[in-house]
Amino acid sequence: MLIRIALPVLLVCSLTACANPAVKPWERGVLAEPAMTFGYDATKDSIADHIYFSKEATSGGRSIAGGGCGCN
Amino acid sequence: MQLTTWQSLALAAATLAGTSSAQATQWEHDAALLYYGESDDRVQAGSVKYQGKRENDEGDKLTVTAGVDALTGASPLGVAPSYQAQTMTSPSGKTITIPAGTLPLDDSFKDLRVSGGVQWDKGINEHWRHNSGVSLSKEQDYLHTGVNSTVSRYLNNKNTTLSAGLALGYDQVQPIEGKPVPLSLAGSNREGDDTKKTGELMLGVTQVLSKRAIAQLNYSYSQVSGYLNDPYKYISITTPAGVVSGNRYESRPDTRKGHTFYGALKYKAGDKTTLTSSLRFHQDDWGTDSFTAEQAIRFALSNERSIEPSVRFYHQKAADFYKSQLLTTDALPQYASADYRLATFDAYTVGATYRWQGSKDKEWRITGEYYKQKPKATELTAGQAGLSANPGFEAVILSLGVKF
Repeated sequence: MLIRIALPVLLVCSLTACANPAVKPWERGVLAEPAMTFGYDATKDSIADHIYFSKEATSGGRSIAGGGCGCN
Repeated sequence: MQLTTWQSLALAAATLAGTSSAQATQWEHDAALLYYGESDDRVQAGSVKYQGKRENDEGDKLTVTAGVDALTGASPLGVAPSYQAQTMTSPSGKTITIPAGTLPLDDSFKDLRVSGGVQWDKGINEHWRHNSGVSLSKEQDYLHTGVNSTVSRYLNNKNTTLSAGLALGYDQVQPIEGKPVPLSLAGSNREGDDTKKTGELMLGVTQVLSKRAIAQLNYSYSQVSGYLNDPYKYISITTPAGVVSGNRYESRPDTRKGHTFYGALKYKAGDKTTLTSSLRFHQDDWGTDSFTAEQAIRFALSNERSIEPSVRFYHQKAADFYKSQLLTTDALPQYASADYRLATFDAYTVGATYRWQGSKDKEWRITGEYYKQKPKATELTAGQAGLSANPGFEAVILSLGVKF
């Protein structure tokens, strides 16, 4: 399990040059764009999460604030 | 949405000031309409979702959510298919006849769900924030209440955010006709309601990797206890010759503990392309281990328009107690469920979202997706050769959203 998680993380770090993460506040113009923000598509994400929650045995992981349902 | 240089500078300035939006003290609305339709006249759903967000001058945010879901169609009963017609009382009290050789479905399924929530996100000081809220939803036969709270700590010039959150849920299960006794025969007396308690702990880190990349890693531990059965699902007792001799209500353990690892990455490649990737691993004591991978690529077509194709792959292992049916020659187990959602299956989603900037700063999107659930074939008896207890299904998901 640990290897399955660690390998993608290492791959991502090497691809995105996270060895130099000291990004200054004034260098975050791209990171502030809506498309680069986690949770920007809150309603779209909530729709997807609810459908998968209803149809699959496992759910969650993205955020903690969830709802409940007795889904059929 | 492709931003102009001036918009990027404004957003960067807002970030410098410690806010994520340049439009403080105004409500931001995010509304969506959803259609969800499964193949073979199975579940059809329509939903309206809303999120309103207001940020004050200090950067504190109030978020209000509301939604209505209407569902109808047919849902699998858990009953095994047979080459003989089957007549039974559905869990909702209706007499139904299942034609020979078809998957037994309950077509009396109808529900209306109303949900809502409020979140308050506040900066404690320069380094700490907290976000707390409540959630509520009501169906004809189910009531959910929940509270949640998350504390975040900024580090490394806000390049790193650590967070720890706790969510608690208290749900009341109020089955139509009452709660069945697990593994009792279909049609047995049913009585009363029950409760379900949920606790979830989440630890997360969000890390700026470069000027063009940001990543998120979450670990969560969840524990659910109480009434975890689906009161509308049967499991069949079948003779070795393949004749369904009776049906019993399903029986699941009354606790479930699980671990979930979730990782996501956003990367801006060039001026017009944004990649969003995520992986999720889940493990729990029911044996329903799962793996999920998602990838979306957003291409800016102009300053006002973008297209974002996406794919998702999901695989889960069957619950330890999942069985497509029980045999008359076997002893009755403590736990057994034929719910297709607890089977081993792969699921695929492919789709795309098209976004465009409308008049008066309205940002529209339309999303179309195709979902396919492909179960691993389970063996039935020789007398049921050629039949499938869980054939899988396909679904179309369409949603239209607007932000303003």
